[in-house]
Amino acid sequence: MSDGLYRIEHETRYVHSGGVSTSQHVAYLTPRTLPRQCVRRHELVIEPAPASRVQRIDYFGNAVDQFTILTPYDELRVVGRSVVEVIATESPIALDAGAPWEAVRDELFYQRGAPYADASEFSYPSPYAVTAPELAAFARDSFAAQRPLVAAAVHLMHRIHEEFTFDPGSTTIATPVTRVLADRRGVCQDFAHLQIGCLRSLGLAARYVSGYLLTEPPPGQPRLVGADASHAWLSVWCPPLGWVDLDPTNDVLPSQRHVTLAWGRDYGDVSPLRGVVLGGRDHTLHVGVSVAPAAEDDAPPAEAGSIPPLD
Amino acid sequence: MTELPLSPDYVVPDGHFDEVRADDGALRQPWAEFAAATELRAEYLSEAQKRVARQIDENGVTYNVYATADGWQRPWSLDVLPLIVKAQEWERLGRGLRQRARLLNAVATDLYGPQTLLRDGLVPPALVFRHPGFLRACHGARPADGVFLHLVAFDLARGADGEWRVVGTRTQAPSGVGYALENRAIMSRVLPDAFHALRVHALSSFFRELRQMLFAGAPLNGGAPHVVVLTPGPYNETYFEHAYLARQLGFPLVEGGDLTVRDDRVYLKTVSGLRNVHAVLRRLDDDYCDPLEMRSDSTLGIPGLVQAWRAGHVLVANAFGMSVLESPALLAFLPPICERLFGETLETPAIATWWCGETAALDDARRRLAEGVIKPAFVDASMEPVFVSDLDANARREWAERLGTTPDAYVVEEFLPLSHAPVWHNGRLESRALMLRVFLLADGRGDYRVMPGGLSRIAGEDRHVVSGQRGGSSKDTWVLSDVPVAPLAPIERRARPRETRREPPTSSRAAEHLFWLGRYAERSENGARLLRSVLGRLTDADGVPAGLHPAFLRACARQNLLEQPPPDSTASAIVHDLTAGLVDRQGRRSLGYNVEQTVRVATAVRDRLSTDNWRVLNRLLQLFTRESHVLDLDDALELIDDALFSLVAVGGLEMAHMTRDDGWRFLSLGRHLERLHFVSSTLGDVAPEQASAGSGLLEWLLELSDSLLTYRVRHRQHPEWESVVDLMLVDERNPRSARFQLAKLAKHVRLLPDASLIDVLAEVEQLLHDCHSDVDANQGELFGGERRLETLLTGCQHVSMRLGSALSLRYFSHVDDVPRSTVGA
Repeated sequence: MSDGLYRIEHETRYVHSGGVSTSQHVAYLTPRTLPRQCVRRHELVIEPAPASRVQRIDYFGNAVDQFTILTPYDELRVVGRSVVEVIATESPIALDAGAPWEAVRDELFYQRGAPYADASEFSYPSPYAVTAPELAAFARDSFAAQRPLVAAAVHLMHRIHEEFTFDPGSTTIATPVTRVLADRRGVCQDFAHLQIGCLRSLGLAARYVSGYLLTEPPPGQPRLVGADASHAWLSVWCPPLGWVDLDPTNDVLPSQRHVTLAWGRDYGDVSPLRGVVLGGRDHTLHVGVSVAPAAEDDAPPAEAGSIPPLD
Repeated sequence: MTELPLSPDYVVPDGHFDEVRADDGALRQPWAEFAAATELRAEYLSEAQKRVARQIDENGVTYNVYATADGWQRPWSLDVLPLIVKAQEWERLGRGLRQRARLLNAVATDLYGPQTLLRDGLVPPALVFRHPGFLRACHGARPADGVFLHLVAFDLARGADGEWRVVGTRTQAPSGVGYALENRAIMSRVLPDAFHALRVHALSSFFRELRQMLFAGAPLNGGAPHVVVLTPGPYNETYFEHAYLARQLGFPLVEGGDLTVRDDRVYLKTVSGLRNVHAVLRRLDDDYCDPLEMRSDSTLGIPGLVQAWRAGHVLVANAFGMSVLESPALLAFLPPICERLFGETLETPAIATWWCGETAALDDARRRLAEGVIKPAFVDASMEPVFVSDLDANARREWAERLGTTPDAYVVEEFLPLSHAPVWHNGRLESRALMLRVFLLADGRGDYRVMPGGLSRIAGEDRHVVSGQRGGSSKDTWVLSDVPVAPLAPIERRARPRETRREPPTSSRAAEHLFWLGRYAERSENGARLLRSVLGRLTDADGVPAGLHPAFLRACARQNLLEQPPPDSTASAIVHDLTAGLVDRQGRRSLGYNVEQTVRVATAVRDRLSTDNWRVLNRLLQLFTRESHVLDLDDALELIDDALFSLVAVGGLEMAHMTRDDGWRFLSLGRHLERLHFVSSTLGDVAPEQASAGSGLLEWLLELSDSLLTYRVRHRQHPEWESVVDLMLVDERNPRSARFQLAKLAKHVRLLPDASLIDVLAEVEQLLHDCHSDVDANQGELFGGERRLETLLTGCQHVSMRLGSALSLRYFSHVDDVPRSTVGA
C-alpha cells in the first residue's frame, strides 16, 4: 500500500427561512495529527465572519473551534480546508495476534488499588453508544471463548456489514442503537455506534471516530460508501497492538484511504458542527465533502505534530 | 414544666434513636432545658403551630411541587418544635464535615486535573467516566478562585447508636439554605423565650459570608464585582429560595435569557445596556447551563457560559461538573482517599455502602442484600431507593440478578434506622423519622465554615423516606452554644477596594415585569373602584336601577369587567354578571384575573419586593381564592373593599419603601401610564352625556378617581362638569389627574437610561403644555369647547399606548419572542 496526500474540502451551509440575529457554534473540523497522519495545511472559513473565535484542544485531544457571529444573516457557510498526508500501515494486522478478548475485558475491570488503563474510559455506555443485553447477545456469536480480540472484533464487523443495509433516511441521530439492531439498517454513524455498543456490552473499550474517505478510489478499487459526506467508524482497544480502527460500513480496516478528524465516546462528543441560533425560524442543511489526491507542491510540509496557525 | 406533652402514641420504634428521651425515659439534657424554658402545654403548642403556619402563609414561603395540578405553589411546612443539638456534639460533627468538604474539593481538583486518584486505583474509573455529571468539557479548567465547591450540603442521619452518619452529599447546587434561614426567622419569633434561654447559635452571618466569598473570588481587577443569582425561573420547586437568597444578598435574580456571552465574558442585559458579570451563584443544574456544550435542548441556559468559565472570566458557584461527587458509591471510597491526600482518618462516618462494580463489594452486598437498600450509583431520576426487606421473593431474585448483570450501576447501603423526634400533628406530639441537612461554605483559605444550624427534615407517613417532594415537614435546627452567643468573625478578604455604593443593575426582564406589576396593580385598583361604585349604585333604592347610566356600563366593559350588556338589561341581571365573574381567576373578564396577573408578575421579581410587600400581595391573592365563584352582593362588596385595602397598601409600599432605582422607575411608569389611560377614558365616557346627566354621574366620576373628598373640600357644592374636569384633567396637585400622570411620565422618561425615547417624550410634554395653557387662557370657559376636550383626552389615551410600546421595544428583553434553536451537522 502507498501513502496518500489528500486535499479535503468540507462545506456546511445552513440556509434559514428567517433572519438569524446571533449564533454561537462549536466545530470539530480540524483533522488530528497522528503518528500515521500529518496535517500539512488547515483553514476554517466562516461566512459571515465571526465576531470572536477561539481554538482549544478538548478532553480527547481533538482541536475544537468555537465562534460567535453577531452579524445578522440568512445563510451560514463554514468550510474546513485541509491538506493531509496519510501514511499507510506497514503490514496488515495479524488477526490472531494479541490477547484473548476475556483477558482484555478483565484488565479493564476495576480492582481496588490495581493499575488503571486509560482505555477503560471508553468501556462504559455513553449517550449514543449504550450497552444492552441484546447488543451483548448479538456480539456473542463473534466472541467465542478465548478468541483473540482482533479476530473477534473483525468478525463482528463482517457480520454488521453482511447483515445490515446501508439506508440513508432510515434513521436519524436520535435513533437508538437497539432500534438499529432490530431493524438491521442505518448509516455509518449507526453502524459505528452499534459495534461500539456491542463491544462495550461485553466489557471492552471502543471509541467513535469521525473522519473522511477518499472520494474517488484509486484505479481498480471500489468506491467506498459514505465518501461524499463526513464518515464515521470506530476504534477498539486491543493491547498490545493498541487502538485498532474498524469500518463496519465498508467492512475494512482503515488504512491510507481514511482521514481521521476527531474521536470521542460517540457522535455527541465530536459532531462536526453544532450551534445555538437566535431567530432564523426553519433551516435547511447542505453538506458537501470532497477528498481528492493532492500534488506535493500544494502542501508545504508541516513540522511534525504541529498544525499551521490559523489565519 | 419539665416534660413534653408527648401523646401516648409517641412511640419510637425499637432500634431507632429517640431524639428527646434517653433509654430511662427521662428527657435528654437539652430537651429538659427546653421544656423548662418554655410553656409546653398542648394548647400553647397548638397556638404556636398556628402562628408558624400564619407566618409561612404571610411570608409566602413555598415549595413548588411539579406534580400538583391545583396551583403551582405549596406552602412550606415547618414544625413548631426544633431539633436541638448540643454544643460539644456539634463541634465534633462540624470538624468532621469540614474535613469532608475539603476532601471533596480536593477530589474534584484531582478528577478535573491530573486524575491521580484514578491512576492509583483509589477511585474506580466507572464512577467518574460513567457518571453523566462528569463533564469532559470542564476538564483541565481551573476555577477563577481555585475553588470548585463553594457551597456543600450533607444529609445526615443518626443511627441507633446516636452517631450522625453522612447519607447524602449535595455538591452541584445545594438547596435548603434559604428555607433553613426562613425557619429560623419564624421560630425565633414563635418561641422567643426558649430560643434565648438555650443560647442558640445565630445564623445571621451566613449571608455576609456568602457575599464576601463571591466578592473575594470574582475575577476582576479593581472595582466591585457584579454578582447575579441564576435561577431556572418561577416554576422551579425551590424558586422561593432563589428569590430569598437574591434579596438577602442584594444581587439581581436572573434567568438564562437575561445573560449573554460575548468574547468569553458574561453580560447581564440591563435597561442601560450590557453589564459585565463577574460571578454567578447558580441554582441551575449543569445540564441546563449551556445549550452549546451541555444539553442542547435546554432553553434555560446561556450559550457560551462554559467557555467563559473555562477562560477564567467568571466565577461560577459551584463549579460545573460537581454532581459527579454526589454518587452514593463514592462514600465507600472516601476513607482511603482521605488517608492518601491528607494523611488523616475521615472523621465523620458515612452510611455503610457497597458499590457493586467492585467484585469483593458485590459479594458483600449480596450477603447483606436482605437488610439493605439498593440505590442507583449514577443519576437516575426514575429510580426510587429499593428497600429489599419490602420486596417479595420474586422481586428479590430479580434484583439479585440485575446486580450481577450491571453491577456498576448500583450501590447497596445498609438499612439505617433513622432517629425519631416529636412533631405537632393532629393536636398532639407524634413520632417521626428525621434527617438533617447541614451547609458548609468555602472560606477562601482552603477550609470551610459550617452554618451553625441546618435544615431538619421529617418524614411523612412513609417511614423510610424524608423528602420535601413527598410530603413531610421541616424543623428549625438549634445548635447550642457553651458561651454567650456572639457574631462570628468575618471571612478574611483578599485586598480589594471598598465596595462603593451604587445602583444595582436592573435586568431587562425585571424591568418588564416591574412595568407590568405597576400596570396590573393599578388596573386592579381601578377595576375594584369601578365595581364598587357601580354595584353600590345599582342596588340603591330597592333594586331599582337608580343610577344605571350607560356610561357606567361602557366603563365596566372597557375595563374588561363585563360584556357590553343588552340595552334592556335589568339591574339585577347586571349585578349578577358583575359579581359572577369577580373571583374567577381564569376568565379574563374579572377582577380576580387582574389580581392573579399582578401576583404572577410580582412572583417573577420577587427578589425586589420586601417581605411586607409580598405579604400584602399574598393576602390579596388569597381573597380571590375561593371554592365557589358565586357571591352574593354583600360578599362581593366586602371582597372588593378588602381587595382595595390591600391594593392601596401595595401602592403605598411602592411609594414609601422601594429604592428609587431603574426598576422602580419602570414600576412607576407602568402605574402612571395605566392611571392616565383610566382617567382619560372614563372622562371620555362621560363627556358626551354630561349635559343630560345629573350630579350623580359626576359624583360617580369623582369617586372612581378617589377625588370626591378633594372636590367637596374645595367646592362645597354639587359637582359641576367644568370643576370636575378641572380636578381630573388639569389639576397638577391632584395625584389622580391626567396632568399629574403626564408630569410624572415626562420626568421618568427623561431619567430613563440612555434617554432615548425623545419622540414620545416630546409628545408627552406637548400634552402637558396643552393642559397647562388651556387652563390659564380659558379661565371659566372650558378649553375652547368640547372638541378641544376630546382632543386632549384622545391625546392622553394615544400617548399612553405609544409610550407603552416604545418602552417595550427599547428596554424589554423579549426573551420569549425570539425562538432559540440548536442546529447540528
